[in-house]
Amino acid sequence: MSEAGGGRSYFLGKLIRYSLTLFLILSLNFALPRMMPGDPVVNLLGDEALHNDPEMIEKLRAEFGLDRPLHIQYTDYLRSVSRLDLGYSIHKSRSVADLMAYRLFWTLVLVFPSIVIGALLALLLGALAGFKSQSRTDLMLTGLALFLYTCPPFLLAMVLVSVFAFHLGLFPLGNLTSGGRTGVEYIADVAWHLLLPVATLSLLGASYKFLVVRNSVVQLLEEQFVLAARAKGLREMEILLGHVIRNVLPPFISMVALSFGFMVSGALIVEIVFSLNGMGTLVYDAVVARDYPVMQGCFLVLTVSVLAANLIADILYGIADPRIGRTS
Amino acid sequence: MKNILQLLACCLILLCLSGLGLASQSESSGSQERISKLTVGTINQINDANLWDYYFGVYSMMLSHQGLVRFNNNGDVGPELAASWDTEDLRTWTFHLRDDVTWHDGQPLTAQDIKFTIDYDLEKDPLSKSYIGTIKSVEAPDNKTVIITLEKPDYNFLNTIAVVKMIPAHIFKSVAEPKKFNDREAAIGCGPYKFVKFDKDAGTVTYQANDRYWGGMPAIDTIELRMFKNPDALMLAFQKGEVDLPYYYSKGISYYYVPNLLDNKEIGIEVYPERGITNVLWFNTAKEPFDNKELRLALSYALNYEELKNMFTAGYGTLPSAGWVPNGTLYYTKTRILTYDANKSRSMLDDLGFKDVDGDGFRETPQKAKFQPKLLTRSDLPDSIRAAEMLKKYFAAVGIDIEIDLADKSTHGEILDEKKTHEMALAGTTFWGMIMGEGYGSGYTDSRYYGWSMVDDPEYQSIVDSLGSTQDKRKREELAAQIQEYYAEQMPQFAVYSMNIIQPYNANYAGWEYNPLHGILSYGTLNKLHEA
Repeated sequence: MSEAGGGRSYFLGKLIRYSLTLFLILSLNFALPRMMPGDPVVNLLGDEALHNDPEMIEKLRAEFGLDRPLHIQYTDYLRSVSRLDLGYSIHKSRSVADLMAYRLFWTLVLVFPSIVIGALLALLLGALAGFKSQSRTDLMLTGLALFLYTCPPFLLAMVLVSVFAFHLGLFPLGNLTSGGRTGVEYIADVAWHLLLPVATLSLLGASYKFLVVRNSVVQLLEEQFVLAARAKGLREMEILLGHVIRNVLPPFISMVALSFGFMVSGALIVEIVFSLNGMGTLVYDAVVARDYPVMQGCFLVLTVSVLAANLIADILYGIADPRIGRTS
Repeated sequence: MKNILQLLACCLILLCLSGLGLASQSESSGSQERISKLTVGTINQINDANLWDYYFGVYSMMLSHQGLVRFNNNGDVGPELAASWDTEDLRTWTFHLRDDVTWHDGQPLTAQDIKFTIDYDLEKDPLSKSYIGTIKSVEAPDNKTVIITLEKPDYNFLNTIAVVKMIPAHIFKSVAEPKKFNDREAAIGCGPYKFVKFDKDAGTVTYQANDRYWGGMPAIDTIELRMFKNPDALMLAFQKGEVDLPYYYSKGISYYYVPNLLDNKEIGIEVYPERGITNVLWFNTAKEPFDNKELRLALSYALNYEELKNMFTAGYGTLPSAGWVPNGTLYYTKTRILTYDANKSRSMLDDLGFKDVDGDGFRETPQKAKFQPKLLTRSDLPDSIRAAEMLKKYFAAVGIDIEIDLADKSTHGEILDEKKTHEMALAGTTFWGMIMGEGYGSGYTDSRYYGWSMVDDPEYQSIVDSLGSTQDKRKREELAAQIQEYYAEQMPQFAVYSMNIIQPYNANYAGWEYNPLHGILSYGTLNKLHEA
């Protein structure tokens, strides 16, 4: 088989596998919420309603299409998904698409910079710590990273709020804006509101990636090609940037790519502490209330996002290393 | 690289400084006479300015919308849009409306609006059937008279109609799907405050005093609701002075926060008696062996109520009484205080035949079968989980091994409200819940309503039915005493502990008044709040 044919069949195989995965996950998205105990309608009614007669519950079920046989609901669900119609929230009186568009926007505003800043911090400081292994800098940075890595996100977020927002008064205690601003003022206000949550997420994200980068650098420094580079008389910084970091990058990129894939799931704890409207709290509220359409919509977007990130990573690997996908 | 980092750092600092500057500009100065702005912090989440959004509906009822009648500070029903009402048979109710009420857009309120609201609710919202499903017809013979006919006589109807907020017919008559109607007009009411805006990004809802309000201009110009997603951030904002009033619908704050607040001179704290019950142990009396009142009574002696009160309320609570309904309820009857007597509990269990046959330290049933009842409670309420653990310890001490069954809110609701498969459950009640059914907690008890304890005893149901059909005050007092004595004797459920409502507030303002349904955001507060 020719090289081009091998590449095509590799990508075709990948596409088929991804399509199958997507279909399976779509089916799980439908089945899992319905397999959970609890009922969205009883939940909607609450325990303070005066009467809770079965006729009324049935009428509500019919209103949300939950009275039909499961296979009919399933085919309707697949049909709606194919039309990108995600339905209407049972609890929030809004279309799922509207709810998600708003939450997704703010989630991306919050999480995207956090991943980028966290990744850059991890790469720079991880490389430095690895390069100066066993030095005071390494011990300090590694100790700090381990502390942050083991620190519960809620605790870290509350400590930052308590110190910087409550005691020092430098930042607001929560929410996305102060309200009533437009234009540049609005953007500045949003940045001021998001600085602490972004800092929290960046630190948490950086701590894990830092340890991976640091350990990779320490291992790579023992490799023969580093010895050869030193023997050739290259300066230490040239070895680090030109040879060691280049070898750290592939696993680092896949780790960051995965973070981007999961980005749309939001950051539940940080959203709760800073009172932000993101995907994390939307998913959480939907699960608690058994809001099937919202759960399905959120999980669908999360699935597509993770699959897309993986697919892109696969394609990039294929391009970066043509040996991948070649038939033997 | 260094230059880029420096540039980024400068941009970040500039952004922060500009934000800080803007924030300081937005601070408002208070007026000497009227309160210019009251910021109410809450963890209740409003999703849209839509009356069918649960919490927007709740706050609308407090501020912008009104019903025919309203709960006053004693927990009784008083006039609101209806100046008076009369009924002869508790089935046909005639309401005589005030003639000086206008909607926020200036249109007069008429009897047609009341008829429209009830018919519209019943047609468009299946949920409304849980409140007003017993209404057979509504008539508006003239602009100021409304006649409501029920399926059957119901003394408690005033309590029910009190929570139905009236909406303007001229706005909603062309709205086919109210849950999707998020226009600003959707929030037009006739109450003391007008809805101004909902800022989702800032998490705020703003209301402005209605200068044409029939009850006179309220004392606060602007009320801003500020939403938080966690109580800790809310309490920090309160201590920092960004929030004047931390408000939880039908609840107070946790006692954990009190020591910090006591040191702050800007903060005042009031403690109000709770008209619901924080945690109740429910028995499914339709299931063996919990249909046996002696067993329920024996289990009631196993609990150390004093210890529970100290542990879960830090002294801000009350010892429960056997008559179950909270002190402060109309026609409250004094019954014995529940006491801890493990020996008595053991002896009663022995007499009932619950003995440890296999020597494992736990009792078996009189039929010598394993006895390990399940105690259902909510997994998302930390205090309920802790209380369930304490109950397990108390029951183990008298030889009863219980299994704690944790369920999230939805599963808990499905088991307790719909399937009724529970054996025992630990859950609280609210003021509104206690007046459900025919009052005195009958909605929670009677199997014909929610019936968490599934009581279908004809003696009990006869008292409940009589409460629903009796107007005579003396007779009602007797019935109230009877139902409380029934609880004390039969113990289909009993309170484990009850926490009072701890309500902190900005001490620079005075004139706060508490209402059992709306809490401190009562009309008394809205009308009388002033600088201290």
